[in-house]
Amino acid sequence: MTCEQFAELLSDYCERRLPVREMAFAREHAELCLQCRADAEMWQKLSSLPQQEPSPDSRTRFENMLNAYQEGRWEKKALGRERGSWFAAWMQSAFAPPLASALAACLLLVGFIAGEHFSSSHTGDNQQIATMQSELTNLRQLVALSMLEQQSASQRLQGVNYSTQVERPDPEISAALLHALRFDSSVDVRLSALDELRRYKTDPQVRAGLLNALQDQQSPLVQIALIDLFVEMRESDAKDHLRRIEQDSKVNPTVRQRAQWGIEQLS
Amino acid sequence: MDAHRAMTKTNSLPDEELMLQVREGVGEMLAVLFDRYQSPLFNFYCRLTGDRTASEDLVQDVFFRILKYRQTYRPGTPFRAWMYQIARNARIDYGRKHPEAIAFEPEMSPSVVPTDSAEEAQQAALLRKALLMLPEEKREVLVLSRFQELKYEEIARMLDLEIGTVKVRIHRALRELRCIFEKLSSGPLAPPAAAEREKERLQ
Repeated sequence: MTCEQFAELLSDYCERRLPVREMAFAREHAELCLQCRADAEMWQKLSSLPQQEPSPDSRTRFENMLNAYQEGRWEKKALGRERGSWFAAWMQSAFAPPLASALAACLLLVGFIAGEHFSSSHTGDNQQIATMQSELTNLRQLVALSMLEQQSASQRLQGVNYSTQVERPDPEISAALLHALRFDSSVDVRLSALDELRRYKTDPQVRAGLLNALQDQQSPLVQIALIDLFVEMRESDAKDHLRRIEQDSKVNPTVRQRAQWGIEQLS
Repeated sequence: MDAHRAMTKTNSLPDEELMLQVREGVGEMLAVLFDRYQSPLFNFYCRLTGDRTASEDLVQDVFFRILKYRQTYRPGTPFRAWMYQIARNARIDYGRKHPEAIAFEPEMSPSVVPTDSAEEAQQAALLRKALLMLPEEKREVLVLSRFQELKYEEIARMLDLEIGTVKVRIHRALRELRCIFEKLSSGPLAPPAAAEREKERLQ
């Protein structure tokens, strides 16, 4: 058997799907040819790649989609797209209908104020600009909050990132970020939410929320990021929580070590 | 008892039979197919993209597309091959919408299933990295044949290639993967740093 012939049979040989005669020829070739043997070993080695499990809420997302489809909502959406109503389709896909209406109202309001601003005399300009800015901030809040409620993890991630565009610290946004940090099924979303919460670290409610989040966390990555943040914030109230983690034998050893380091830093 | 028996019977139906029922409008049967294939599809995408978040979204997209295009399923066609064709298209569309996803950083992908030893964890980390460094078309054909248990004929039809070409491509992909893996194993990213990082990522 030549190397070319062996290459054609490689996967069948490795999976033992060849007839006895061909299997014997292939085995003989593999014993003699170093390169081909190494290829076969590489095929076997790939089995050491661990299987990953989807997050538990994946089934719920599927059921929601199926129910929505069966209720005919998806059909309607497809029809809307076919008719070329790209804006309506975009609004439907990005936001839930009530939020879409709220957004539309906000946009209308911003447009109205802008119209008033440019058509009227210049008296009271500053006040009108301030009102417009405030409306824009509200609009951004709405967008960020609606994205944080999306089913798709990548859209929730975008929501977390979008929340940075809300310049003023906002209690609703910080509450939504804390909720994402504690309960989101995606580790990526939880880590991003934690990053954004740094902006709110002087807020006592956020500080308390972060302490609660540490108790709930199961992911070592998020636990370590939280411990680092407590050290950065010089949060002495965290010490008791860190001690519990350090003494809990069920917790990941790396996290326990980090908790010990955190206690030393905060003492 | 009857309900239990009916459920057992449904669960033992072949994919093709279930898909025909979905095609006829029995949406509940798609849930059985979802339970069978969400994990293989999720792993298919994880191995192709290295991105868990995107992979979860893509799995949902595949089942949405199955519903949407259910009328295009032809009786007698193997369901798995048809599903992976849809999965492939979904991934291509995702790549177009998210070009930044191509520049994915392998370190972001946490492994969920812990391995037995540091050595195994280290090997898995290097393998995953090597796989992601493989050119996309080679990675795809290798993943389809090695992990998704598709036949050569099915892969050939899916990629619009001759069966012989598929076999050669699988072999070339494997050899290139071996070169990358050997380079990584002897390079500066080899242990202990890689093993430590992998250990930290275990959940």
